[in-house]
Amino acid sequence: MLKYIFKRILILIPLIFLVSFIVFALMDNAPGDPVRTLVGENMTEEQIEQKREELGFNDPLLVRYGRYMKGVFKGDFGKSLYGNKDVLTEYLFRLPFTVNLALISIFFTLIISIPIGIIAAVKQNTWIDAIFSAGAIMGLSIPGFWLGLMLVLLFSVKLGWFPVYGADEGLKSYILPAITLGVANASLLTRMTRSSLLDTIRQDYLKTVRAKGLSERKTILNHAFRNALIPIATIAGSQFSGLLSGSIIVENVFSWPGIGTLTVTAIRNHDITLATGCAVLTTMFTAVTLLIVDILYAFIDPRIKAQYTGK
Amino acid sequence: MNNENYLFINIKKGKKKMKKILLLLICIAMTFTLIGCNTNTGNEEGKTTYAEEIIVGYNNDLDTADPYQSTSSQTHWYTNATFRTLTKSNYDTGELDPVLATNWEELSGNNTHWRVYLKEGVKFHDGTTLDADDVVFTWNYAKDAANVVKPIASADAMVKEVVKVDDLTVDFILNYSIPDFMVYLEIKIYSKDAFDTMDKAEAGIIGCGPYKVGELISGVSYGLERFDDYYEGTEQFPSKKITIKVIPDLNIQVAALQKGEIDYSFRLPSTSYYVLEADPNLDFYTRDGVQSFYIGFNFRKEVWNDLNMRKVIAHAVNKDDVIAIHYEGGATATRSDNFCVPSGKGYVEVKAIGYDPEEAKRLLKEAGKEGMKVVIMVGKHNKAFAETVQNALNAVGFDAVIDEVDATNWTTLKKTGDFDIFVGDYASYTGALLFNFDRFFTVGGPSNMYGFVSQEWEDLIAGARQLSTYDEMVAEFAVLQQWVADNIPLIPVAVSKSFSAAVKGVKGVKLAPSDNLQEIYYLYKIVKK
Repeated sequence: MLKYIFKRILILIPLIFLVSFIVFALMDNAPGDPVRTLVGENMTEEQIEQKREELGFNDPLLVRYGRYMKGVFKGDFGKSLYGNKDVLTEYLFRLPFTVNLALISIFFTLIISIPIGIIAAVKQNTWIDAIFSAGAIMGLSIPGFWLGLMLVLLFSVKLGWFPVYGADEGLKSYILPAITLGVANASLLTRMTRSSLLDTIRQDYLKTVRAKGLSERKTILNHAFRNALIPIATIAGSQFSGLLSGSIIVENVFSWPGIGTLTVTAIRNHDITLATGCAVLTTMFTAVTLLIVDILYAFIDPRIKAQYTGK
Repeated sequence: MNNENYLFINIKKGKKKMKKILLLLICIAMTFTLIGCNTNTGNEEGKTTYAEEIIVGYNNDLDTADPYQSTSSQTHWYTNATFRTLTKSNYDTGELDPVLATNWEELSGNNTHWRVYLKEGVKFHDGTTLDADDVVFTWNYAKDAANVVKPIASADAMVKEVVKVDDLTVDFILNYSIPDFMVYLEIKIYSKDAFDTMDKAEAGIIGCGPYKVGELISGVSYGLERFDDYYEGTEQFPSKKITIKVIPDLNIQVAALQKGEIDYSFRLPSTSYYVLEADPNLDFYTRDGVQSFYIGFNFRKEVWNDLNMRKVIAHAVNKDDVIAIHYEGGATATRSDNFCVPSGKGYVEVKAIGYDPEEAKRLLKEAGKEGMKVVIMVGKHNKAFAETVQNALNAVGFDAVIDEVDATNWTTLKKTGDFDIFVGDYASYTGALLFNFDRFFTVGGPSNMYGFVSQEWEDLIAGARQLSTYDEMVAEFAVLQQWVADNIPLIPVAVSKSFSAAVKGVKGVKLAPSDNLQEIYYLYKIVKK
């Protein structure tokens, strides 16, 4: 197992180089001039040129990239172009907001989608299944920004149950953004749980289980669901890692100080150092999260554990 | 008891009684005097209590609290609270007010040597005191693009040297005559001592304004804390803290205001104008603004150097349609023919080329450009404006298309983009008469990124710079305004109106005509009377 983990961590090194170079090069070639964007209409052409030289923008791309990566491997992710803020400090400050929201959102996703998915599978082709399936399609179709605004209008402005914006009020602040993020994920996972379970329910071994006299409830939960769990865990894991890179729309609607807004603001401002820093750190963080999800597979499915340990 | 003793005791008693009466009278008199002196407080029950904190909503985070390290609006208005300038153009009266400068005089007789006298006893947030060294340091430091992101405009062109005369006197020696030079001294003053003892990032946020930099929480909020040693006292500033909450979505900001989660906002969507105005729980404020909305040309394309082609555009666009469609029927902007705003110094009414679609068609036909493709570059916030222009151009025979670009690429694309015309806006308020004209229409002007070149204009503006009195300059300024209207380097369309809203109980609202000029530090809230 440790060998497997070590191998995965080693893969992270070329991955970081690849991601950072792609982001760095894309930002460098994006339309617009970062220096002109920074200084607006407040400098003459000579002053802009002076600023460009001072900020190192006149050096070739590879020189700048090399300089940047040298810093990264020393733990120095550089300073942002706007406000000269330390990139790592900024990122680490925003990270808990995103991680906590992702955890609550994925929790909401799981407690909604798994029971509904199981019920829809067990009650296949009944009106209950039809209602749940329609609900799931609706959940997938609703745009996040619209749902967020509607939730705010109803639950915050009209009913006053939750704050309108921000993360100041503890758990209460998390509910609406977590639901907004969770609805689409829960819808997808509900459909995944249903189809995965339907595949398993049709397996022959379950006939044997039933023939042995086990109750339907136990048959589904202890035997069918456990075997259906791998694709569900895969999707949930991907959804969770997706949430960790932040959601610009939901963060924007709920004034959430997460990674998403930080990254998008950096990209929009042509802040190459901050944008690349966010991309590299998010890659590292996501890779580690996916590694943890992969390790969790081993506990769900002994066959995978055997693969990891090479037995 | 003999009579003598009796008398003595009575006299003593009488004296005691007199003393008591006198004491009582003094107490009553003092009480009345105190009541008379204090308008805010009365007896204990009637005492006015202010909320310690005011919450303001804004859609962008603060990138820096150093006024010269960012071009963003939020840095500008935030530092209005933390810094003080030498002078200040009063947007209500149009006059130039002294701030850190008590007074000034011109010594040369030809407007090239200005002596500025500084206020005494002004404390910076680091405890040091303002003197001439701070002014000299600020000028030399903040004019240099190597040190800052937003250097003092035209500093080297205008000023030869800044010299300390004594601790509270500074001389500005100019390169040429500038009759309204003091207007250019609306510069925020750094503490030199802070730069001598701290690192640049720390020193750059030390000002001498009524509030100092408070808690800055990335992506969440940025605060102001009252500076108790402010040189004019703190009576005008009852709020101990002002916290600006970052609420990127403007509709959410409206909701937060309506729910009372924020006390005040001046950055609100124009679509919320009537809703907020009608809300009984809010106080609504509006005033004429200084944001000019205009149509600009890409002079790098030869076709737009033809005055007749510019006239085609001017004749084709009905400004009233733009006002009706884009500016809430005129609630958030008024029609304009002059690039200068009515509240600006020296503004005159000009005769502009008006709406005449038939004339536009005729001129277009004459130029042989019927069916010509016109790319209209626009940022998202002016999209409806651009669509109205697009319809107007198509109606006279162009094939107009819109190119919507990201706001952050705007300045770059104005310089390099392959557009024909653009829809732009600019907060044009300044007390300096030639400031905007210099920027927008002269060769090398920082805002003349679209390549406008006119020798006639260069000669006019050079002549205006040579004038030695302010009155002469005002007269010439009127000529320049009409020149712009006749020669159409751009087409002014509208001037903004500002609006803001506060929850009931919030006082001290001083709505400025643009974001940059806002002064939120006067805000306070009475919680008990």
